[in-house]
Amino acid sequence: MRTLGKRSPQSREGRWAVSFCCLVLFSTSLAQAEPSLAVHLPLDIRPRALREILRKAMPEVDVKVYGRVNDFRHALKQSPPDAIFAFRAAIESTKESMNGELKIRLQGQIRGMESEPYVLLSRVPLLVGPDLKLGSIDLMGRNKMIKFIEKLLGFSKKPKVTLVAKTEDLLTLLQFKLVDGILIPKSAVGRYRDKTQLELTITKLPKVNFGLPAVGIINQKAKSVLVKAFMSLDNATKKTLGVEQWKKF
Amino acid sequence: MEKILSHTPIRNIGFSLWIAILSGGAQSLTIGSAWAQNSERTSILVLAPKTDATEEIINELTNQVPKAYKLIKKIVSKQSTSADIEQLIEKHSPKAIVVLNNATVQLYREYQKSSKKVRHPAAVMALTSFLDFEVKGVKNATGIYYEIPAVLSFVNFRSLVNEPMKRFGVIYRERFESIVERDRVFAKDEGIEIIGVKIKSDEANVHRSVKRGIKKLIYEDGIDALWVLNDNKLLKKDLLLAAWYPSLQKCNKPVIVGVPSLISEKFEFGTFAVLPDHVSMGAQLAGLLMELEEAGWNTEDFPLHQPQSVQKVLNYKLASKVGTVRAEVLQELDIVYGANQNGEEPTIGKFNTDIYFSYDMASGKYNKDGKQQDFQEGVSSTTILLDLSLGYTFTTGANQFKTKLGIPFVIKAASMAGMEHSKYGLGDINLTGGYAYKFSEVVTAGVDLRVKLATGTKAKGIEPGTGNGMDHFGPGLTLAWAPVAGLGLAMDGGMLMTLKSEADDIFYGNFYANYTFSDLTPKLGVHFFKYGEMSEAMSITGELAYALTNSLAIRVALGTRQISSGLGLPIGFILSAKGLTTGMSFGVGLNADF
Repeated sequence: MRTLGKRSPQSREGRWAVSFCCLVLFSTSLAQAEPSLAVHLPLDIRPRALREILRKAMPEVDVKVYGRVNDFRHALKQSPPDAIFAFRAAIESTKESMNGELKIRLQGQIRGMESEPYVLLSRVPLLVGPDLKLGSIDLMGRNKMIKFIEKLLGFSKKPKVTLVAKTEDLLTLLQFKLVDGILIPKSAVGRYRDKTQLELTITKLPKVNFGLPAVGIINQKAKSVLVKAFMSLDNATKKTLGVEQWKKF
Repeated sequence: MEKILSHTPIRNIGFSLWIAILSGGAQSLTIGSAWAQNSERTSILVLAPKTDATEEIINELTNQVPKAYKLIKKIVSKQSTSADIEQLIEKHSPKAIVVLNNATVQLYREYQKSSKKVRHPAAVMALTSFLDFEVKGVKNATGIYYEIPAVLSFVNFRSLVNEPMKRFGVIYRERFESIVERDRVFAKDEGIEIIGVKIKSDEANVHRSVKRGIKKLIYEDGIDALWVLNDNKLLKKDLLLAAWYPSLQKCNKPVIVGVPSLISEKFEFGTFAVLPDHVSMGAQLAGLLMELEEAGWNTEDFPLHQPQSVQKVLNYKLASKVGTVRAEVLQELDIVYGANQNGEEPTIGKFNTDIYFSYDMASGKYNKDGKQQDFQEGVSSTTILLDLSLGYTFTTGANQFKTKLGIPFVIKAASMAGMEHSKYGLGDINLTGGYAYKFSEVVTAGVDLRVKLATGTKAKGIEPGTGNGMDHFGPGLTLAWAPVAGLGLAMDGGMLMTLKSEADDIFYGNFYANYTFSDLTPKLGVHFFKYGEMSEAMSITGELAYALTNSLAIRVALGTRQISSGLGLPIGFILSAKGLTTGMSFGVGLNADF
């Protein structure tokens, strides 16, 4: 028989155990509430710096940034995140391996456009054709990327493409004459010219437009948190990411 | 990766910087590819020692090559022989062989020499220092250089600092002439000039040659930065410590290095390094293999390739000494020592000691109307000052807190009408505390508080004193500006209130300009103070400091501090004054940071 107002030691321990379990469950649920975002966005800044920027800008999201497309794709297979942030073409190329769960929910825009023109930057004027040796960032893995470039440039055969992981490596390809030209956004020409004193020639590619960064959601339950986080990014962060505003889908 | 031979590390080649890179840690490599059993696939043999670097390369190579390739990965060790390689080639009939590191390349070359075969698989070599030399004699071979062309370092460093970087100096042995020439061609395209000092291969006194070479490049050729070539012989430990390090420590030139061991937070040697990116090298090898397949596994049209991707490392502290580091570019670097990627410096505490000795001889005085009058015959006044000070500066981010304690010892002698009087002992101790904020890489402004205590003795009649007998306390403002590299402009001003006395307050202002070139820093000071109606002066001082090391400097000066008058303010050649003695003072000082 228990005395009113007093509790047995077993009861007290039991209460502690229940409280502890509740705390663990609560903590776990809190941790689970933080949606995960995998990022592969080759920019001038290093992945570590990009991760810091995104973590500061969206503390409610668990951000992982990958510098190489293989690491990114490996991570998607091993532990699929709730969302991915990458160039639109890279997201599209990932869709087939996601069993239709991946849906683009936000599209970056610049001056209202969802894509931007690309050009060839070279040391001498170029005549565009499949025999050119080109340099490009690898966004999808070697085979997919080379096929993508073939289609993008409207070539009849597979072009010779040297793929690199970092934007700065494209300039190296030109400096050492390893390629004839590099495929870059028109908006990036100034940045390349700032870094080098090589005489560089721009070859316009009138029909070549490349989708701006976009957000693809895999776990639709995390959509509202992620969309809100991206929509609330300040202008400086958006500029770093290469977008001005977001279009919702 | 399959092990065919023992696990002993690569050949011991004595003290070699490459050991650190090419051997790395002793982690195991991934076991061969999952599709290794399919004999339909194109066999590629990979020969490499077991190191962190080879693991990174091989893992990425495995990720990047098409599934039609069968990678056969074999560990090569010190005990490996050319017969082992022959056996492997016989067994697997590879279309290509990836050969990683110098020792493996040498072994493969031995195999080819002993082999009677006319046609060899395409050999793709990487992770090999000075591949130009190593590849000689190897048939059907190509590869990727391990050394990063200097132009990549130059261009990247140029984009980091706001100073002109056009002339890079290098000291090299005759043997490396072709490498320097190759870099000279690349650099020319970028508007950069490489100025070389060649050391004969049979040079007996390399220490002296390195020291002279550095001196010539810096002081005669006027280089903007020094490029340290990855030559094991020139970078031996004793040479580094006895020749390179002391010579470079005194100059304020950026040092561009190519190995990780020469750049770190603690070892103040390399300012900037561009290092090979091993993972990217694996991807580049994969691309090269695919191109070779298209060319029928014939390397005839495949010259040695430059590495496509690099890792960039900066010592922020050393780079800041050269000039302004562009904070926005720091985010493009892989490692930044001494700051985060936003250019924020870590918290640093530093002590500073200063010993200053001056001799001041008065020959006349300025009266209340500002007219100069010589002393009458038999009248003289001499002051000898030994001033010791200890300071501590605490820097966190852009904030700087500083404090300084000055303890003067004074000998003052005066003679008048045949009577001589002298006094010696402790002067007036002064204590300064301040805060400064670094608004940018060129502008710092702050406030300070000065306290001066009447610890010296006060003059009585014609008997001199070692202090002025009054306590002073007051606030001041400081401003420092470094508009261009080497040039420093600074000013401070404020007031000192006289405590427990009806005496007037003191107002003062000082302006300094200094310029550092080589190890010398001349400094000009213009000073003003006004002590109520009693005295005032406008004067100039001059100083020449010589940096013995990065943290130790000596200086000679024209001018002194008014310790004996109790003010602790600088004073020198007087342009105009009232109520003050006039004369000449000379000083010498020693300053040390630790």
